[in-house]
Amino acid sequence: MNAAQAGESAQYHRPVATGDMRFGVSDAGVAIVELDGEHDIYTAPKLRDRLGELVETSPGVVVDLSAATFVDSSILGALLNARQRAVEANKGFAVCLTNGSAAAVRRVFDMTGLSETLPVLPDMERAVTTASSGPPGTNDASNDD
Amino acid sequence: MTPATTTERVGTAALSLSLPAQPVNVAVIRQAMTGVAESLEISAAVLADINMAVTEACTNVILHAYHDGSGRFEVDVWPNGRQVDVIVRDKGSGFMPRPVQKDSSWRLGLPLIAALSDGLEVTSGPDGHGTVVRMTFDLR
Repeated sequence: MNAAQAGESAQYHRPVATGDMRFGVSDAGVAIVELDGEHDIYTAPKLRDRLGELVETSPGVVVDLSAATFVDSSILGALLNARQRAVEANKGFAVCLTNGSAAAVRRVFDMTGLSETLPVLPDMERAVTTASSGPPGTNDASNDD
Repeated sequence: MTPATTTERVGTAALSLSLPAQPVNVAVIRQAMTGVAESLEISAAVLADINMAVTEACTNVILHAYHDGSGRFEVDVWPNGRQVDVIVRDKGSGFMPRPVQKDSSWRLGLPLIAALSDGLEVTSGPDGHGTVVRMTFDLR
């Protein structure tokens, strides 16, 4: 079987697992969305919708990317959208990305310079505290390009 | 082996895929790319860059190439000495002025590809149909 045939076969048998999303709440009532595995344009619409709902119904939202192994610009777009909604709703928002997180995930945040904008915190305790303390700043780097 | 043109080459690609340009298939491309990485002696760090860049290129096809949502993306991988070329091709509407996207992913996609790759060439396809994105990566 050549490579092209393998690719055609792949679409029918769906051997590729995409990442999961888990949802929780901190003691302070902050909504926590944990992503693990790979996330791209396939999972971004669901993430965007759920984050929008959680911004409406929670005092703050944290997206935990500690266990994510891949995120693309579709996911960054969903995070930026949620951040903007949080600003408009006067709610808190933060992303958690630890030093032990996947290098590919940390790299995309480093390259885009979004760590301060979103903001990105290095552990869940600080991320939850940040999301509990009001909306993120209004210096939105996504408008710089 | 020297390519005849950007899109027309002599020899055999290390990987050649044509899939429906649907979100579920972007992960299939990454998996296939990972599958050929070892035989091409692509390091984990370079593979991570390639997978991110090819994801962004395929995402652009899904979002912008086909107005009716149907169509395919084609991905070819060509070893080229101490480099590897990854080519993502569609047969969609080609370059068109587009309104600013509310979702910022489009604005991040191409700059990310440019930053991740060691060479980037975006051209129209044969007869002006579609777009060809050629990304070159050094096998450092």
